[in-house]
Parts: sequence; C-alpha cells; structure tokens
Amino acid sequence: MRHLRIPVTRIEGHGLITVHLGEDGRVREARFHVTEVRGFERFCVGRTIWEMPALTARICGICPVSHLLCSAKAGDAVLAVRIPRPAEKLRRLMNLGQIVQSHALSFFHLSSPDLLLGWDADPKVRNILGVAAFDRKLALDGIRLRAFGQEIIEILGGKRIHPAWAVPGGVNQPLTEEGRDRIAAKLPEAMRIAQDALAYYESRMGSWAEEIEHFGNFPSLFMALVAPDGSWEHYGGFLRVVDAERRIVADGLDPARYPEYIGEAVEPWSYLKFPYYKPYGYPEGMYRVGPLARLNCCERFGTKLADEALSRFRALAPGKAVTASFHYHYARLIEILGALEKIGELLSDPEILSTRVRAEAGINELEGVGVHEAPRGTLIHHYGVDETGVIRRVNLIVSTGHNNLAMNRTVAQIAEHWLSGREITEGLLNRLEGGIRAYDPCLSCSVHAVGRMPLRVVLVGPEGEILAERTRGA
Amino acid sequence: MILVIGLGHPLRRDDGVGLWIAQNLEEREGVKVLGAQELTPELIPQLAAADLVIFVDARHGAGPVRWERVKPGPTPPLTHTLPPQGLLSWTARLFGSAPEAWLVTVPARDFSLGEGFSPRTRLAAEALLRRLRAYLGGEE
Repeated sequence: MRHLRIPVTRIEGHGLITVHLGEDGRVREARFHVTEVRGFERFCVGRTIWEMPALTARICGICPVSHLLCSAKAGDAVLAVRIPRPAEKLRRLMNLGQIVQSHALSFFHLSSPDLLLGWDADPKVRNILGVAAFDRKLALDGIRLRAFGQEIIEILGGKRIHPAWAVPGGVNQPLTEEGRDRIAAKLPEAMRIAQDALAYYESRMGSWAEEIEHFGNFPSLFMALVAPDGSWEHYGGFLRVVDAERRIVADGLDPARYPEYIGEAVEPWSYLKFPYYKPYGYPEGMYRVGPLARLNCCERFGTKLADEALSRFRALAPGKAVTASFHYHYARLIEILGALEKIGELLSDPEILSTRVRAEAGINELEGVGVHEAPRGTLIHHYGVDETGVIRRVNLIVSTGHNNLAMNRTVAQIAEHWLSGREITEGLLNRLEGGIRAYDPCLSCSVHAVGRMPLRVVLVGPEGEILAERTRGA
Repeated sequence: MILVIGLGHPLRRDDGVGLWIAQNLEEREGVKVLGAQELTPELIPQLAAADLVIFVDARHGAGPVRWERVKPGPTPPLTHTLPPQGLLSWTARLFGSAPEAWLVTVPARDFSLGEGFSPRTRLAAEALLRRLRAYLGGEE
C-alpha cells in the first residue's frame, strides 16, 4: 500500500492528509490527521467557574467569542440563573458579529482565491494577493466586512480579541447609545457587501459543478440548534438532527443532555476525537454541523433577504438536504446576510440599551452545560465544579470535532475522483485542501493547537519507505 | 490624522509594552490610538485614512528606544498577521498610497508568561510615553 501525505494550509491551524493506495493504485482510504495537542480540558481543572469564559476564550484567536459565550452559558447553568433579557440580546449581538467576521474571513480571505482563480491556478497567485490583483473590490469588501463584525465585538467587549465581557449570569457592561449608533452607521455597507458576495457566488456556481459534485457530496446526518418554532438559531433553542432527505431524525433535544445522543470515538492517528450520533452507532452516525447543517435543519431563517436566499439554496435539492459540502460557502454567505438583518433588528430594539445585564448568584448546581452555535458549528462546554465553584472536570466538543468524520469522508471522495496514477498534481493538492477548507475547520479550537505542520508532501511506499517528498511555503 | 498603533501581548511581560503605551496615551483632535496584539488586515482602511502612522512594539535586546522609518515592503499574503511593511504595502496596493510610517521599538528582555515589565523596559516605556505626549500635543 502507498501513502500520500499532504499538508493542509489556509485553514485555522494546520492538518495533514494521507491518501492510502492499494496495490492496484486506487484509493483505498484517506485520512485527515490532526497531529497537534494542547489540552485545555486538563489545565482548566482547578480554576474557578468565574475564570472559565476568559480562560477558554484563549483557545482560539479567531473565534474567542464563541468560547467566551458558550463558557458563560455553562456558567449560567452552574449558577442556575436565567440571565436578564437584555443580556441575552447583547450576547446574541456579539455572536452575530462573530459569525459575520468569521464567515468573512473564511470566504474572502481563505477561500476566495480558490473560487475566483480556480484550483488549477499557479499557487504563487492563488492567494488573496492574487485576488486583490484580479478583483480589488472583492479584497477590500472582505476586509471591510470582517472589520464590521470585529467592531461589534470591540464595541461590546471593549476589545476585539479575547474580550472578557460575557460572564456567568450575563455580561459585565451594557451597550451605549454611541456604540449602537456606530454599529448602525456601518450596517448598510456591510449589507451591500454581503449581497454582492452572495450574487457573485450564485452567478459562478455553474463553473464549480465538478467540485460541487465531489467535494464531500454524500448522504449524512446534520445537526444544529433550531428555535422552538423551527427557525434558524445560533444561541438558544434545541438541537435538531435531520437526514439527507431532510427528514427530522430527532428534535427538541435538550443540549444539556448531549452525552445521551452524542458519542465520541477515538482513532490512534488523530488527536481530534470523532463524535457521532449514538443511536446510529460509529461510524454510521456521522453528522455534519455548521452553516450547511444549520440551513438544512431550520425551517426558515426568519429574515426577509436571508429567507429569499434560503429558498434559492433549497432549490439545489428540492425537498431534500443539500449534501454537497462545497455549499458550506453558499450557506456561509446566506448566514452573513441573515446575521446582518438580525443585527439590524437587535439595534432597533430599545431593550438593547438596558443596563440590567447581569444576574447575581452563587454556586447552585455542580454541573453545567453550555451549547451554542459558533460560526463553524455547534459548540459544547461541559463543566463539573465543587461546592465553591472550582472546576473539577471539563469536556469541550467543538464544531471541527463534530465534522471530523465528514471531513475524512470528503478527502477520500476527492482523492477517488482526482487522483490518477501516482502523480500528485497541484490540482489534486489544492482540491484536497479546498475540500477541507469548505468546513472552515479550526484546529486551534479542536485540539487547541500549538505549532504548525510543515508544508510538505511525502509519498510512502508499501513498506513505509519514503518514495518522494515535496515542500512548499505556507 | 496621526495613527498610533501599540502592539504586544498583555500576558508576556515586556512584550506588552506597545499595548501599554496605547492604553496610556490619550487620543486628541487629529490623533487616534489603537492597541492590538497583531497587525491584521482590518487595520488597512485606518492606515489609508492616516497621514502618519506610528507603530510601537517591543524589541528584544538592550539599547535606547529606536525610531525607524518604515516603508511598504514586499506584499505578503493577507493572513491574520502582517509586519508593518506588509500592512503598508497592502494599504498602497488597495488604496493607491500608504502614509508615512515610523516603527518605534522599546528594548525588552523578559518575554515570560505574566504581567509587569522588567525595570529597564518600564523606564524606557515611561520615557517614551512622555515623549509621545509631548510630540502629539504639539510641544515638540
């Protein structure tokens, strides 16, 4: 058996793909390895519940807000409080800002080079630099849209990276009128950018038909939070699981009881666990989370423009779930648009300026689970504490972990379609990376990564000998 | 408009000196002050709107506070973090021109985990803060 080792770049952190060939030269198996480890779950033990939002926000510099909010929700559960309504609205506002900035980073900075310049383009130009040379407006739009999302975070939290703003019981400072007006003033431009990007994607879809067909296009389950009325949700509500036919497999699942329906398998070749839907077993219980799953699970978005876009998205697979992981990009753009609409709604709610933003309480439960939708998918923080609020046990399940089985399936599908003979073409490498990138995995989050994978390709023979090695820059 | 960007990590002792400058330097008419852990692409439009940019960062080693003129360098990939030269070159590429820019570095030697500066960095930072206040206040 031969192995092709392919480092993955332009994702949050670095991974490695090995393609395992049989003696007949055909793809037998492909694996997306996560080879880095940090161990936040261990070193948070011994800290207090009050420190957890700020501590776990350090898991990732890209999505600290997701961990901050989820951790605060787990803290709410330990305090056994319902936070004030304005505090929930403010947390929602920050999470929507996070969705906008993270999705903008994924689409404009990381993925647009592939989409705009093609997977076979020279790697020297197939980056955002090449995009800027080709389409200056698109590059600037990406910068401005991401800056808008980050500004929301900064206005609410006092800073854009690692704001220690959400706390168990609520948030530690309200939104000022001046802050609200600053966000509102920039909303129209953000809306224009989101609509332009969506129109661009929809107009270009036909040119990506082959990639859409083979970038992780397979039946699976999908899981996401939905509101009690079935509409799109990112902060509260219940978990729903649908299948590839968009039939509801499970609904109204209490997120706090996730161990009853989510199992976590371990493979010796990856530090990233393999969550699965327990009733279906491992690995048949493979499910996807994130933008694609959220759109497949919800019945409507709940805002005008996003719902119009959602109906066009649904038309890709009438009556069924959209199963092509390539369309994570499409779902991401629709979510940006809908998130901006929801930001507009929140800004016009007078309660958003209320100063009643925190419930005070002591330790009332010895266990707490926080679940919400991070940009990349469902995020779970589960803490066990002692009577004084000192952490005794931590379990984190992040979106990249939920998608682990699907990402492995995706690289296998891409290798099966584009690998021909023993030649590792630039086009194959780029598509393998692109297939993974569609999920926008965050390895910093998933294993809390340190260090970087070397950028190399290694061809290993049947006896494990290295047949060829290839290196390229980050 | 003069834009001051203080860089650093608040939990890496002397590394946080640029951030400390940004936190302690007052904004005034025509002067905007930002603190950041890294130079990210979102700063590009703000650079484009500035006439003069002053980056303040820690510099490993001894010696005085250094002022160095920086100009647009090679245009690096637009990722999460950019050097001052890269940020300037992206500004020039996307907006047609880049502002005059200076990189001010403060000597630093303790980059261990924690808060607070080593004595030499503390003295240098306080002196730089006084000088920037005087300069930005029009006294120099």
